[in-house]
Amino acid sequence: MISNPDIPREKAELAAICSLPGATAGRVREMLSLFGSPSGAWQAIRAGKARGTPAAGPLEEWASLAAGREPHKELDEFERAGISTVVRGEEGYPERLDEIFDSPWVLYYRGRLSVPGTCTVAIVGSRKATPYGLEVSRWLARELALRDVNVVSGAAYGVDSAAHAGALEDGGFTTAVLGCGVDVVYPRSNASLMERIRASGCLLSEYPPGTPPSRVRFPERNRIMAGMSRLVVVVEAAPGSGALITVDHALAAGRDVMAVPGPILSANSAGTNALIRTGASPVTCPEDLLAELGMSRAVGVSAQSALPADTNKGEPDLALLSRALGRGFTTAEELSREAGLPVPDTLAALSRMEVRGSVVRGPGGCYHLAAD
Amino acid sequence: MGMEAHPIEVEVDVTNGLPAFDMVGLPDAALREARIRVKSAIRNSFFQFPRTRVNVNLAPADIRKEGPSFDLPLALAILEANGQFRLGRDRSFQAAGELSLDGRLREVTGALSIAIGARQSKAAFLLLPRGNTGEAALVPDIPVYGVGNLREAVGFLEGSISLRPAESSRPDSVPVNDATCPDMAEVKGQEPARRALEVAAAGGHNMLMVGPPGSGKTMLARRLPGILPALSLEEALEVTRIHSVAGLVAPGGSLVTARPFRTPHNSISAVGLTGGGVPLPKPGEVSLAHGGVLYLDELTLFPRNALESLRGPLEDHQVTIVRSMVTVTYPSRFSMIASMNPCPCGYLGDPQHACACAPGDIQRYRSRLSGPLLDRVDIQVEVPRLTRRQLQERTAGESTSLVRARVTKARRLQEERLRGTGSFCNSGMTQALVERFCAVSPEGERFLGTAVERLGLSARSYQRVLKVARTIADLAESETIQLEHLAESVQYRCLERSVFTCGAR
Repeated sequence: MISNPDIPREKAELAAICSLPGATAGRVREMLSLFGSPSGAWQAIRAGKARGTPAAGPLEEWASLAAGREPHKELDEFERAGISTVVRGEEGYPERLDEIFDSPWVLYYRGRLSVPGTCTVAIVGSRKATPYGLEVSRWLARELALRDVNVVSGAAYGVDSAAHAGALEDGGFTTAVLGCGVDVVYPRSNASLMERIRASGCLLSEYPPGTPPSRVRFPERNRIMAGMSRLVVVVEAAPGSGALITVDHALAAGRDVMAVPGPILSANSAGTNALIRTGASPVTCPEDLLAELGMSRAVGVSAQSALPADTNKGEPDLALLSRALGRGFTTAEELSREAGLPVPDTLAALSRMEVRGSVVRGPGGCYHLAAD
Repeated sequence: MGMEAHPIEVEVDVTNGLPAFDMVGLPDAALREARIRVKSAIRNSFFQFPRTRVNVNLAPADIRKEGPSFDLPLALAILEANGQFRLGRDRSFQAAGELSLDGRLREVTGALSIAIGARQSKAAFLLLPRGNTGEAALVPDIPVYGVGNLREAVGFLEGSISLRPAESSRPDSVPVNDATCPDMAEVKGQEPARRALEVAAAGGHNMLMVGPPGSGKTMLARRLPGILPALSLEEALEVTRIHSVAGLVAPGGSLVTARPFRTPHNSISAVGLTGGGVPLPKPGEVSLAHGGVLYLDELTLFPRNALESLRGPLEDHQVTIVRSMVTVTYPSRFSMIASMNPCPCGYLGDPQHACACAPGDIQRYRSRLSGPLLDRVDIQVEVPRLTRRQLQERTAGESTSLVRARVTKARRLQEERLRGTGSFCNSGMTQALVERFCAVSPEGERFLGTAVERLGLSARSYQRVLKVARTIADLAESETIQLEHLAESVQYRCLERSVFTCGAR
């Protein structure tokens, strides 16, 4: 372990070691135990004396890469750019993350770290979520954030973005764990959301600033999401989805996993339904999550009964349509047939419900009831 | 040149010298070849080609001349100059026609324009190949004579053959032509898309359909010309003229009575769309669709510069083609209807098929359509694919003639309202006209405000929503725009919704 992580010099050297190519958590651990401290290890690397250590392969080139670097200045520069660092053992380092076997030695972040003791829940799922997945993700995140839960997700499209946005909706706290440097905006169209997360939440990454996104880094960062969370909620996942990798990490780390059930014909719910079949608890409403976290005792208030039932009083078209929507019809054509309304009236009523927020429209011209 | 025919004087001088046949006055390659055709046609019509020097001048000499329609006047002038026949009729006549080697006459393009030009230049009469007379006779006040071959032409000009001028084929009104356009009744289901098509037709709005392969987008588009109001006589004449210039009027054909439906393939170039060619630019697809419908299937596959070249014609309703030697203007008032897949694989949002595209691919796919082009599309609708079961359940829809009756009524309301403003239908309203004619109640104002905010509609689309709402109100024969008209109109902006973040408000 680190002898004294509060010494900025040691911290900087540790960060520098971790930034070398191939410096996995395991290798860094071996280096540290071999040389006693980050300083010792860094000196050894620079002097090329690290040859012959257990992690010999990449060390050949480390000496040249480390030559001329001044870890201390690098960290100062990041600090000036608004990027902070936290290392294992330091205060603020996510508590649970320390428990997993390959926890990152250094984390870079923008924004602020969550207050120690905060309950942390990861919400993950498909990037190409359906309107249902987006709506559920947003709703669960908002309800959790209202109860001061730190909502963790990966800032990707779809479920991730909806979770972050939902948590921020009423001023909650959320953490985005990135597969690139914390100063890299990816995906680009999420720029404004990420700026909001930075302002009132936390952008977190184990990769040094400037690291570009890459295919291999996303599964790696999933272990951080799983590791720092008390509970992992999968909202929508097709078989083979990256969200299921997070589940594997969560199970390996002994975290609870819950899944949101979905229609059995929907490819996007096949992964979550399979999780439920193999033993994950289903999420039918935010209370289910709170009960699991020990924050509420009420169990089983279903989402449907939480829907506002009577907002359409005095507007028969809207009432007819919400009933048709509740029965699972989605396209304007089906809805107009089911509600017995002419197409123009149906379209007009759907617009009014959309504007009111009781209906959301997704790709393919499909309409769904909103969760709240 | 362009749509206008310019009278060209053919001067022939047969003089002493070695046998030669020279032509001056900016003839193009096809016209230079006329020498071969004219020589053979004269010989094979039992005349003699002069065995001396033949000089031809085409005046005015500064205009480029192209095409084979000078064959007939050339042959006639040579024969007359050579003294092989004596003109027994008014000298100020005009003629056009392509000769075949055996002396028969072939149809030329642009006969309608030629006839209009002949009338304007006060020609005594017009001599044309017989197949062109139906078209040319649409023009009143100019006698048109049709002949089959060179001998007949000579005989007529001598006065030894008498011909009756072609009967005027100009009708008092354009008959409704339902034969060329498939009927709306054949479309099963797809009620929302049918409705959108009706609104598009009623207001002259451009429309974009987004849907997976096999959802019936092309089938719907093909039925748009039929539900548009019948062509007026002026429109029909203009359409005929363009088609005549482009050589699209069948031999013996006359007035084009059906609204054109043009479906250029997505490999088309910008020039193909807007028109061009040397030496004289020909009308492009936007002009051939004048008065009718331009259907762009798979909009995203069109070359970007081709799509950008549509902006001008969409805005100005005409294209001006400027080349080094000539500038021509063709009208291009058409309804654009386009289709595209929701994503590269086509299955985004399809309940039965999983979409195989990465989110970034989908965004790249959609970003191929430029904002300025989308800005000219008032109606964007999604056309979901129906399952076989749904198709079986659906009954046949309303027929084309029923829908057209409603569209015609709505158009008439718009014409009355917009009289004297320079616009003809709701889609053509300027911002000032929108402000004048699309008044919205305070309640509607509030609704639109929230819609822009909550549904992520762009500020620019605000105007579009108002225009389309005006058309919906016209279809409902309502003086004012009601909330329900606005609300329906909002649904026709599907592409503005963000694809991935609709849950994140």
